[in-house]
Amino acid sequence: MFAQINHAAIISHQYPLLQKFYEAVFALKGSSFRITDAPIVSDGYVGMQLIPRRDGYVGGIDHFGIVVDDVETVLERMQKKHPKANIVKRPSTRPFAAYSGHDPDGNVFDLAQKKNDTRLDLYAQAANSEPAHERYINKFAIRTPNAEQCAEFYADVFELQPVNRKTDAPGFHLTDGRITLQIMPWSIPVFENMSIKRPGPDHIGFHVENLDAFKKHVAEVAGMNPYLAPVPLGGSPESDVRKRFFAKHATGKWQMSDPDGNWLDITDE
Amino acid sequence: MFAQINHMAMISPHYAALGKFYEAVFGLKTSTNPRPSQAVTVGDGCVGLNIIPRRDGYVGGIDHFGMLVDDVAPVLERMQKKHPRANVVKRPSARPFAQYSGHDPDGNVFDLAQKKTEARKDIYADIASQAWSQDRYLNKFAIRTPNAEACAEFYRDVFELEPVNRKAQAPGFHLTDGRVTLSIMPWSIPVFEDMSIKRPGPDHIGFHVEDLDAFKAHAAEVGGMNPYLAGVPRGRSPESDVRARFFERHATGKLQMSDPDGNWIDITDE
Repeated sequence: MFAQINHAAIISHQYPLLQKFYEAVFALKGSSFRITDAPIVSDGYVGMQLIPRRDGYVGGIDHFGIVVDDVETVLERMQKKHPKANIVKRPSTRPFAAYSGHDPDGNVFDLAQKKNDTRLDLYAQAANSEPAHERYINKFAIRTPNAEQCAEFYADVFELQPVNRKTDAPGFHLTDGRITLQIMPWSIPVFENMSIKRPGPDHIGFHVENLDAFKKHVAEVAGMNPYLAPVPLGGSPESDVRKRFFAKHATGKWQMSDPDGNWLDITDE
Repeated sequence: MFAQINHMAMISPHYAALGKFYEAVFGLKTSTNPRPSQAVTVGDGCVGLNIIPRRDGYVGGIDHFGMLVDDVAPVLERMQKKHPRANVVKRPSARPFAQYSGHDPDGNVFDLAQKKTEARKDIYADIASQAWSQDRYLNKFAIRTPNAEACAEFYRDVFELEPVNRKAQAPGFHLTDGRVTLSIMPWSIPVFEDMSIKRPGPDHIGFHVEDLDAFKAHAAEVGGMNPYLAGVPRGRSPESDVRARFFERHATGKLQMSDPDGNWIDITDE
């Protein structure tokens, strides 16, 4: 494929704890690029950065990242057909991306290129090895006002392809061959009987080897260490609505959240 | 004025401590009839601030604002006529402030209440029955959004917010309901040079205080007495220095600080 989705980022007020959660529950491999900065956890293919929530930022799933052979082609395609999108060079200290961009709705993505590769740490290791994890990140989902236009953008510029398998989940499902980018429509009426979620990243998906074994493992981890327990879904009228909402919009077989409340969609298929 | 900005909301994993921060540092008052399992609501006698527990699926931070109008019908009519990309829908009845929620052309969310069918609860009921005035009060809600001009036009057309008279160096459009300013700043990646990109959406809130030096001394004293009520320090590393200067350049007040969650607050005594 021309482009590979290989980076996801979460901002958290308890980012070291979140690192422990993803290591313990999903067996992602952890690394501290620099001890004062955001740690990275990786499945050998996708690196997920857990960024300390700094002043001025919101906490939650923040952005994803793509690696391409050459950024020039991306810039050229964007300028031709998607003038509302943009890409700029990033500060040089970042471990993943040399560039950042946004789609026509302002959803942000990082961009790295294989040519003059600037990737560091686990991103550099992943570039040179075969992924072998049983539990791995398989989706990044966005909810955005102009979903169709954004899906066209990712298909045109990054050559992401529509997912073959049919799903009842709304929106557009594009793949790089391994990771799905789900682009769901955002509008206030979809949030009936629940608080409105702002447009932007919505959830992350994981593939696990066996759902029953995974559920048992999650429960055991939470039992051993309550700080690593997911935020429970459901339990009050509005959170029950929210739970059904997530189930309806997900493509996996089981929905859960991490200790910050970030939504995770799990499948073993 | 046709519309009054009288509600702001933030989402926090530390919502209870954040409520204490706004009480202790800005003198906001809590509801006389609070609901302990729900969001903390504090107010300045005119504007209510909801501090909502961060629930699964949501992001933490400044989330939305709200307006009060006499009647929602003209709002709907104006929106349908000229701003088809915006929308308003009815909300679940459990909310303390609003019967409706809407969004501008960029998807920035606001709540909407009408005086005609009063349904306000918590601090909003207190304010409606007996507004009070205090020295420290909320005076701004700032948004950063890709189509700032189109959004500013929307709030002018639909809610009759007026451009602020005083010239500000801060970029964007500054509209007022007579007391509270809605600042609408342009969002694009190049503005975040040498710092991480902030997502489009709410950016900061503003407070008016009686005297800046007295306020600074008070905030420092509160943080000293109880470190859980200290603001997140700004600056002191190369990137956070960039961020501090960025906020200063985009603010209209005289002092910039953040709350214990890192939400940006712009303070003035003018």
